[in-house]
Amino acid sequence: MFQQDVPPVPRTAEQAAMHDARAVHDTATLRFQDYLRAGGQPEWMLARVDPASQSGNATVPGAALRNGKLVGPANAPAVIMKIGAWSRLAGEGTEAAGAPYSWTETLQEEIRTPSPEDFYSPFVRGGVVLFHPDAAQGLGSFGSPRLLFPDWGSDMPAAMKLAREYAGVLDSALPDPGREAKLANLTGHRNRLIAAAAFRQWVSQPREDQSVVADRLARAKGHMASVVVFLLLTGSSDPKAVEEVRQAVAVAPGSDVLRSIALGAFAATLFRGKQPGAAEQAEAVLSAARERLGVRTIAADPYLSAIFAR
Amino acid sequence: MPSESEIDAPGGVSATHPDTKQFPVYVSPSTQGKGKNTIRMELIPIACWKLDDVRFAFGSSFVLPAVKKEFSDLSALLKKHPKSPLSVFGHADPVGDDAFNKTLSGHRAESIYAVLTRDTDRWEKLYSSGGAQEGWGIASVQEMLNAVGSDAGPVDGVNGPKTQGGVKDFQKKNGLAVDGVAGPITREKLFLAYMDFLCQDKLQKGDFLGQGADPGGKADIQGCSEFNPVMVFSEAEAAGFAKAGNKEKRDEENSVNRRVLVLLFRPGTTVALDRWPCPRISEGVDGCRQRMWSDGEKRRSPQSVRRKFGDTQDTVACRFYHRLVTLSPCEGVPPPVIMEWIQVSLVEQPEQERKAWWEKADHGPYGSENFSAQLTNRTMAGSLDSNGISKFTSVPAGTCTYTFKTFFDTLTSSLGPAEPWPQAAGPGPGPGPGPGPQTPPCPNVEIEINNTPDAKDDLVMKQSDHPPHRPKVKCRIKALGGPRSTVVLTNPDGRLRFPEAGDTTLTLQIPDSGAWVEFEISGETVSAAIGDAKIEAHCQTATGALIGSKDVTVFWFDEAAIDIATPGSYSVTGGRFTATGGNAANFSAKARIRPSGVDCSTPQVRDLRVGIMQNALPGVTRERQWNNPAIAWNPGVAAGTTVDVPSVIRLQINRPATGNDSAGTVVPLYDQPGKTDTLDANSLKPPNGCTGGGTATSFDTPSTAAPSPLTLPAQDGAGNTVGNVTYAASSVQLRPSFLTWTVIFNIATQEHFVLRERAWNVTADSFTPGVKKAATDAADRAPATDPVLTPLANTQSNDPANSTQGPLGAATTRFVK
Repeated sequence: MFQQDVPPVPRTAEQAAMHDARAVHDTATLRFQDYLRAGGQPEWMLARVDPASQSGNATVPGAALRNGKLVGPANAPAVIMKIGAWSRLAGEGTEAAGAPYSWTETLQEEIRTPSPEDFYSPFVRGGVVLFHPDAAQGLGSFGSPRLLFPDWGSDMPAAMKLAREYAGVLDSALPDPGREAKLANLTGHRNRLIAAAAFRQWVSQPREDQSVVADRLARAKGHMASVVVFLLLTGSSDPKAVEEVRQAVAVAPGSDVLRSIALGAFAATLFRGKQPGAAEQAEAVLSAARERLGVRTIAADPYLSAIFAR
Repeated sequence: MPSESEIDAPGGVSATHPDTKQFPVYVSPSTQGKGKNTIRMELIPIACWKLDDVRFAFGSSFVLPAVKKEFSDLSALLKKHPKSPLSVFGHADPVGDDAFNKTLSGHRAESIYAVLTRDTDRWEKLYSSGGAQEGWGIASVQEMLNAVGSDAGPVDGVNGPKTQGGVKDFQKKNGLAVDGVAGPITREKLFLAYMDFLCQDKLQKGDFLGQGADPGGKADIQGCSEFNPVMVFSEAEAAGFAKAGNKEKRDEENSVNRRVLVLLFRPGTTVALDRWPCPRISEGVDGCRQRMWSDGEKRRSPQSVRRKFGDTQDTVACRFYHRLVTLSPCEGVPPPVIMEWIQVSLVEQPEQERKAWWEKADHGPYGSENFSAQLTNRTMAGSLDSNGISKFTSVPAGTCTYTFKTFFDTLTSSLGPAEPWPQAAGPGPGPGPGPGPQTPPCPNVEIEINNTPDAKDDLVMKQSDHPPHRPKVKCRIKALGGPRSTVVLTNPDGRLRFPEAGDTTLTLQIPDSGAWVEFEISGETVSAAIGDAKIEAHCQTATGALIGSKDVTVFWFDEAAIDIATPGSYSVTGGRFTATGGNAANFSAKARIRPSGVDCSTPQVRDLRVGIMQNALPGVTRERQWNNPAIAWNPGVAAGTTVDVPSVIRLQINRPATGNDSAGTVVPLYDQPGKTDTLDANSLKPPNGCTGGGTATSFDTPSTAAPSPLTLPAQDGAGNTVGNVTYAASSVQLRPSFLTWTVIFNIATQEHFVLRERAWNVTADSFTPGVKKAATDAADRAPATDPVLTPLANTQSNDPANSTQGPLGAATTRFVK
């Protein structure tokens, strides 16, 4: 089912950091029900998005340069162009192999709460995008778009099946005896999308069993560790969660773990929840990670420099 | 029945109002340079003149000849009250809509005003605009001609030979061109003659309350529409009258509501026209509605029984008018009974001794003994109450004979001629010292704040200046037995109003039924301690006997502050130029409720929260510049093709006016918890001093899209597109400025008022090195401005109409293929 395994790579370390931060957010908050038809059948597309070189440039529709002047309609809004093509990597319930895309978006000068798309747009910088095909125009044609880590895309087909299988566990609205134990087990599932969904559900409510959080912080690796940190900083109802993360920073065995924690915290500063103090908590974790990594390590790593460049 | 000072004519009433005394005015010296104290007399009508509907045709503003009698009464009234400024109020009945009736009632008032001032121009306008539909036209010409002695025949509205003859006769007598046509010139003379016929007095515009200073007649002439009926049908009656065939009867019964009232005020009374609450006669009903009682619609609408203003005082919807006519005989209010009740105790002895003596004589309890009394021409009978007291209410003046038949067989005592109850302050009525004159005019009263007996909600919030806001609390008062009485509410400590700023006292008619009478209060100045604002109820006048009181608290907010921290630094982060390392601005808003001890669970307090509001100020808030243009020629463009393009392009976002920095689900606040647009779940908090009280927090990080190249098509001189020019971004500037407030917000009513304000701004260019942070004023301050609520700031910023783009400077760059 998975057709290709060649993800687009952002061109700069700064773009890579933003790409990964959005991917942390998008995978941590992914809802499988967004990729079902009205009748409950799966309908999703995993696509590689390749933007054109001018994608992301501003322009003024209808305007042109002539004789040293800007001519065109009065009060035409400046817009951002999003131009490129997508190609299918995997999918279910839809057969399209890919298509070009092209639309413009108003240059949002003032936004109350910037969206992930405002910080990193795969339609400008590239990426692997999970979406629900939609008849709408523009960005709307990519329903519920989620930027995935390229290597996580292969988990999607199985994740959709597992999500149906464990619906009673992953959906807190449905009663399920022994649900908490099953949910705890799912947080360590080898399917990373399912594990992320289970961990999100786990931290959304106060739990007596504190071992699950400690276990995931200790065992999760790479981007999964970033997702765990992000969820603890933005989606946890337990005030001790932040302390758990800071403790994880303190005992982190090496720079790889700290790098993952830093990415999760960086994503939390950008895409924070509405809990009071969420931003400050994420900043505090970042500061702790900076201290442990040290200035030299950060300076020598463009990716880390981008994360800590404040 | 009219009083001695009252004339009840067939078409109206002319009467003097009962005397209403006022508090003395204490004046302290001015403390500010050349400042002066301004003392305005309270607006107290002293007499009234009412013209009934019968003097107008139905739906008409033309006044009929028979009104001559009532104008004669008005003349007498004016002589009795010389130099008393007048104001004219027109009223319609509830048939038709408010707007139509506002116009009609205004025209009627205007018509009377014109007669009194001989303003023929006004009549000409009424004649021209109202026409036959408002009772003018040929029929009115016929009425006027006949009245002034030029026979126009029967009043049939037909301009026949007889009418034309009458017109010719009038024209001849008045030196006009005789053509038999009642044109404008003839009408002017005819109007004047008819006015002279109707009314012997001619007043000047300066004789009226507004002194004719406002061309629209403010304070001189009012049309009150149907807001102030003096009789309201019961629901059953209204339903019956709504049926076909009953409308004539309905109109007949409703005639009491169709009237014109002239109120005479105390000599020397003047008013500030800008504060006069009634809209002009040419204006709509909005101004009337703003002055309505909070239950004004209910007051003027049918309820279970028919109600008359004179009996219940609850039919008039306009608070302002209600206050003016609360004692007015012209609106059916009966004259106050000076001596209203007598109570006689069995014997002059302390209660315990009296009871012992009574029981020793082998009598049953007091309440079983009967008595009878001849009170002037009225016989009354009843039983002793449990204290051995017999009580008579609504006692007419004169000599009374008291007969107690059971105990001594027949005990007769003359009570002598009744005297008015002394006016000096003193205790209320109680058991009298024995047979003799006992003439208390007012019973004790009970007052409830917030219409509950509970003391904990005897609260009202202090009025606010930003924005002007005067929260009102419903209250009620009732008599504890006794007859109908006039009660004046006062507030010696000055912390309260009844309820508008100028209402330092309130006169109420308290029925003898024990029914509650509603009024409203507001808080003018703050309480230093719980219950230190006192409502006093005085009998008859503001200095009359104290017959009840109530302690109230005017609560307020102290320790208010808006703190703004600026932890974040600006940089380009992905697709945004935004603050990182923290928000650009963190807001902390707080306030403490005072005085300590206020119960926050009461309805006046429980919905109040400390919140945050923010306005975005006008000016250029964002600017982008692009330079270093480079061209990509289209395929096939001929060599030598030349294109000139601006060297620098600039885009500016200009906020044209202050906008509310808010969002759809949280307006008017900057932030609210539990909404789609919530930023901070702690953005609304109860005030300190209340359970759960704390600091409300939120944050703001103004941002803009990160720098990006600008691509535009390039055209040659002939307008052919020959390629695309791409500019590099050279500047992205954020320059927004804000004013942020700590506010008190009522989550039930959505009302707000502000406590403190603080300004802050961001000035940052993404291409300028260095730390870039928001800047804030050194400290917050007392509010100097009110927040605007619309438009929303983000809507302004993203509106293309507020965006300009074009070359910056004259420099151009030439590309040659």
